[in-house]
Amino acid sequence: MIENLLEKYLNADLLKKLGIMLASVAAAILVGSIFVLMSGADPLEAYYYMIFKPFSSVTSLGEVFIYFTPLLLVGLGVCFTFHCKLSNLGGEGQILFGALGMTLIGISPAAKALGPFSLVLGALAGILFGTLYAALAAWFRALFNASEIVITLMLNYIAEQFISYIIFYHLKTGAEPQSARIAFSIPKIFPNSRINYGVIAALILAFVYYIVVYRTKFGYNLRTLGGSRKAAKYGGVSAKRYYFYAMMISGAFCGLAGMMQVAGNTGRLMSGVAADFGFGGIVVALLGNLHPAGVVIAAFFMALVSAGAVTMQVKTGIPTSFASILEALIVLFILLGMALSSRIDNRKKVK
Amino acid sequence: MATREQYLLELQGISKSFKAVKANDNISLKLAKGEILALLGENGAGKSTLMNIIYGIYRPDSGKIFINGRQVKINSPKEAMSFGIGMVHQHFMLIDRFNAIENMILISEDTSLSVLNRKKVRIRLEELKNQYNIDVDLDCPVEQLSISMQQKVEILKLLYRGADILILDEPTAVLLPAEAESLFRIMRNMTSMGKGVIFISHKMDEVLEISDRINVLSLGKVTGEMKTADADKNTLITMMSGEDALHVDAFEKKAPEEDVLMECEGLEAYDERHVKTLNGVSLKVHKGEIIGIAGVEGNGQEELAQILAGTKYASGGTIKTPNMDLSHRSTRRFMAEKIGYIPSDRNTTGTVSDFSLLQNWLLRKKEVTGKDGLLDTKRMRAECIEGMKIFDVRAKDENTRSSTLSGGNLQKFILAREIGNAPRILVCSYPTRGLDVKAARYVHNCLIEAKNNGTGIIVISSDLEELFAISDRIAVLHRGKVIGEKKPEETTAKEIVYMMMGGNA
Repeated sequence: MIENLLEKYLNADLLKKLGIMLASVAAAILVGSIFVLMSGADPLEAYYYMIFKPFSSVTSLGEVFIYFTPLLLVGLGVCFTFHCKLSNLGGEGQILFGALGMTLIGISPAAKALGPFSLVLGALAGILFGTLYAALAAWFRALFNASEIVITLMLNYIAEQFISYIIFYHLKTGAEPQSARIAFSIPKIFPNSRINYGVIAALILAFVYYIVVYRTKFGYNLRTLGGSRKAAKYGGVSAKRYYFYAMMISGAFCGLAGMMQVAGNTGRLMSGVAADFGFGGIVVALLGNLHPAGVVIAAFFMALVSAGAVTMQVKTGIPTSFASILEALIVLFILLGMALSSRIDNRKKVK
Repeated sequence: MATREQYLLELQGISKSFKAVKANDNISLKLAKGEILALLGENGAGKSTLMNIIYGIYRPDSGKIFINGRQVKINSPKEAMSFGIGMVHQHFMLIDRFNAIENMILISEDTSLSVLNRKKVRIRLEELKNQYNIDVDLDCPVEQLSISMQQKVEILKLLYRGADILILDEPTAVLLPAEAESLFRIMRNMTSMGKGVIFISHKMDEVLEISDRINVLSLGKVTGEMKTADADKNTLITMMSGEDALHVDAFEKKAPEEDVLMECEGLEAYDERHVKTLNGVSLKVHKGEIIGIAGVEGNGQEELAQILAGTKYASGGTIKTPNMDLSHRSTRRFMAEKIGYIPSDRNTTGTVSDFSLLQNWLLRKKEVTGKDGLLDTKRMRAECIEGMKIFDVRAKDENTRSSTLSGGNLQKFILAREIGNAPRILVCSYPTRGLDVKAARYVHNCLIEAKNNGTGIIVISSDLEELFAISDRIAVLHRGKVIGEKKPEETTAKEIVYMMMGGNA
């Protein structure tokens, strides 16, 4: 068995953290019912369609995984920044650029000849685009000490408008503002479900994340920087450099998520391809407590809610945006729970 | 003999202990109207504790406080203010983005921010400015004011609140000489209006210049009380150093060797408030030598430690080892050159408090990965357990969170880690601060052993007993300069204290 460093430390607090997570989800579901009642539906029925119905068939479960892959990738990506106490709210923009990278490869004349290899090239292009776009934010932070929260958030709007411009003026093929279909998509695992091999890649990356963050000097330095900037300096870790690394890796993951969206879901570049996964991924990272297993579970839960929301809308008339309300409530309760528990700790210390 | 009513403030037999340490031991003092009382004493003499008692932050274990002859109990700073006690802390309590007027509104009783209110505050402040001759811009945000101006805003704040007893905690530490003069004038103006001022300082010249009476504190006790007119430097220094009490441990020390391990010249640096704290420090560290750096705190020690250890760049000057010029090189380079560092702040610099001891063990280790490029946890764990055993770190095991360790144990842990790296040079900043006698002695033994094995050690400390016990040489830092060097066997504590106060050797 792999021995590991953080596990032991986490164990001390694991129960408490797990408690906060579960309580937050429960509280969000409870408060969410008020919104369901307000729209005149039965909460039990709504939650049934949202959370339990997706398990009823391979086809509907496959839909969950269409959400799961990008959520997991973005979730893992933002974990890197959270580990050094940086925030990447620019997932949306990085996803869009990743999607653009894949699309450019996928619609190029050479793509047909390349076959599956075009996916590898597309993934590399997506990662590169996402990384570079995130590097821009890191650069502002490192050079001018600008708040990366504001910068990454604002870069989303630039990306959105830029992609809009591209699909309206350069990649538009038919009447719709969207690119042509890419030549080769990620193959499906089962014939009657949309679940594809992208899921496997994302799960492998969750393992890679674990190794990098908890088992390498790089990950150790990153976490030291998050634990105490002064200690990191003392240990010879350059904060600037590591902020750059974290932001760029984060962008790489988001870029790959964008590539997966195009190559595994939409098949083409269109507006809305990022589908709020940039923000959903932040919820996933927090809910999963930055732990690889936690992030996988959180991504699945969030995917379930998002996919289930579609069924719920059809059956009960509650709009799918209810899923966003639920997401937001979960984050609020997690933050509340963390604040409360640290306050309780402090009170104990005073005594 | 004056009657009790004539004193603004009187303390009788104040004692306060923190665990085993007696910070204040049966202290009595009196402050009359229109008087400047200087409190003179070294770091750790108990000045801050005493002031915090007067200001209602601590409650005394025993003793009485009288204000205008009436016995009172002060339970909070708010109550202290209601008794007319005001304090200017070393770190100012101002909102940076607010101007002086807004800072006053913040503390005033009424809370609404109406136009009228502002006007009222301004009129009152202008009055106070004229009355006490305090020249400060009321409309400029505090962050844009110089340190000395910010201090004046703090003083205005106290006057605005109607304080009669003003406590100034080392007010000149951050000021230039000319600025100090202007502060003294303001203090004189205040006393001429019948207010009482307690002036805390360890700068003897200033104390002799400005105060009316002097109380000397040493190791929690009042060791001297006199009129300034009757005082001279010599008596004061004897009172401050309390030389009779100096207990020096004897260690078996090898003589230092000739080889120079590190040489720095003309080091200059600014602290985070952009005050120049190092003003051309030159030092040579020899093999197997312990250099003690004595000085009143805030004379550039922290910056010097960081520069020598490579975690801060000097704004001027050079650092060299026989191998290379280390000026403007990275912390990693310093670590590669085997320069160890025991920072004064154990909890957030020396360790990451959320990490386990094992994780913290990796912080300053160069080779932490195995052949596969991953962290070699197995080897690190073994090293960590070994180090903890050798240095007698008392913890449940290596997975214990470092924040749960006592100061002494954590310091031993950091020592184990740094000395485990076999450093050529070890920079220690206040290595025994906050430790009990036993732990401190343990640390001293470790340092002596490292020295006898050839490490060149720099110990920055304000504890003279420590410096006399372990140093081969004591260099005195004053206003960012080394103003003299002495061998401990050829000098006395009195002489070192005299130099610390800026006297020439």
